Amino acid sequence: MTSLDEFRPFSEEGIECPYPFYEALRSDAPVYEAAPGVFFVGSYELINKALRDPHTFKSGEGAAFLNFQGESGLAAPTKNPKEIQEILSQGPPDRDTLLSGDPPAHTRFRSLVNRSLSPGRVARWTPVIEEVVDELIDGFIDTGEVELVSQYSMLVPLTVVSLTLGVPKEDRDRYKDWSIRSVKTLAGQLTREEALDAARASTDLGNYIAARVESARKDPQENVIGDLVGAHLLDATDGDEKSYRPLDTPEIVSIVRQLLVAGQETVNYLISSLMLMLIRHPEQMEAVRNDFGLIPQMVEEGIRAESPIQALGRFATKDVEFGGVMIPAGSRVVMLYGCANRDETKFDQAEDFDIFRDNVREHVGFGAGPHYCIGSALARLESRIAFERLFSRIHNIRLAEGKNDFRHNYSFIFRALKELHLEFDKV
Amino acid sequence: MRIKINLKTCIKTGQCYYMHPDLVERGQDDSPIVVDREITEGERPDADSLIGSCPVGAIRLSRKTQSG
Ligand code: HEM
Ligand code: SF4
Repeated sequence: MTSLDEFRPFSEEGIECPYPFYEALRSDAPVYEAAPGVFFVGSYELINKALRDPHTFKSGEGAAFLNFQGESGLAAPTKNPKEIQEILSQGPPDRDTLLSGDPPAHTRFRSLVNRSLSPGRVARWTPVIEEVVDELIDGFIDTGEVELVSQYSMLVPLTVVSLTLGVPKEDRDRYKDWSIRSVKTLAGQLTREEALDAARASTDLGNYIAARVESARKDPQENVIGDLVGAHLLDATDGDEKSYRPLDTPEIVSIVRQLLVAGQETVNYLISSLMLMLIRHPEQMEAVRNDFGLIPQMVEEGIRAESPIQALGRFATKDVEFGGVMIPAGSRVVMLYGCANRDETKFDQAEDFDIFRDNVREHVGFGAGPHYCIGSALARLESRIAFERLFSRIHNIRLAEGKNDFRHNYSFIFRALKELHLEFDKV
Repeated sequence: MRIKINLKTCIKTGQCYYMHPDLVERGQDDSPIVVDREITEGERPDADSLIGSCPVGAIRLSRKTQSG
């Protein structure tokens, strides 16, 4: 096997297929100093330890966001360039709430959002999600072909999140345009023009959400924004006396933005990569088509085998010996979810896609511990419906010949198929 | 009232014991362990928040006063 330091995990080819590097990492150095002060954590056991210890490995001060810079790796989470800052300053100010929060503040914010996204609450959206998904399928079903990413997998979560936020129909197109443009910062390397455009969209979207929040303050609404407007944050504890305050608008905007960003791209990547794996394993596709009861475990296996979020970061808050390696305080510690999910000590034949594995639900593709994905119930629901409706209406799903190169976005953080061209027959 | 966790559905995310350490403790293998006592009326809001914190809906309140 190639030795660990011969891999170039940040190169375009390294990103295109990270799995040989991951395998070497797990077997040679489950905690690996990939660059000075940057430690990768790749085993199932150790990632679980680290994710569940927010006091040693914190998310705040930009730790969660790995500032991926292409070949040169991860840059310090520096501030945005001045021209970008200027654009962003015209929107609501940033706040640390969920992803970039640490206990105890993180716990307080999270407790306000949890309930709106609990399995019981999101289940109420089922008929609406089915309608959205069917409308998208109507858009391509008569042509016998589809580019799944742009015509389906991207639009399912985008529309669903807009509904849970109560975006009215007449605003959907604007909302869609801002969302698509602003999440481009996640896709990998942007040119200066693209970065400026993403910042403008992000500012417009922030101001739009702020306006939705203000209108929800006037008229109560049955959606996530309505819930947040009515919520009360634990502000101070004085002995047995607890005092609470409502969330301010920038805090709500921060939470909503994260739901949108984290909820939109991840589900997109999951649906498209899962479809490709099913096409490559026709016997499993057949089994699922014959029994929709298998869809939930298929979704779990999709998240395990091609984890939409491959990596996020933490900072070490103190000197710590971890997995036999000394990690100095202030180091960046990179959680490799996609690597831990292929750990052979946890998953037999971990490289294989197998929806029938018995521990299919035990992956760390949604994280673990305090930051465990807050949108997981919604993600599971919309992915299930997306496949149920597709399988009910089309069959003989196959790759469109000569159109696919199966390339992924150049991102160390997300595993995203760029395109997936399919042909199919109507049921 | 007592808190009940269905350990067959639980996937050990840890949300419950991070959000409400006074109601659920973290076990050796990261499983949740519910406090062995009745939940008071005053703790009801915390118990509701606990139920909402579980991403797979494994937590509920049982009306029975004694859990056998
Ligand atoms: C298959 C789809 C998804 C995957 C694979 C995924 C993955 C993850 C992961 C790995 C984390 C943990 C981050 C950490 O350790 O710091 C996370 C957190 C989060 N996710 Fe998801 N996610 C998905 C869908 C969603 C959806 C649909 C939403 C919103 C509706 C969402 C919102 C969030 C938010 C807000 C956080 C931060 C929670 C916190 O820090 O407490 N995600 N997600
Ligand atoms: S929150 Fe639910 S899934 Fe997570 S450990 Fe507690 S009971 Fe288990």
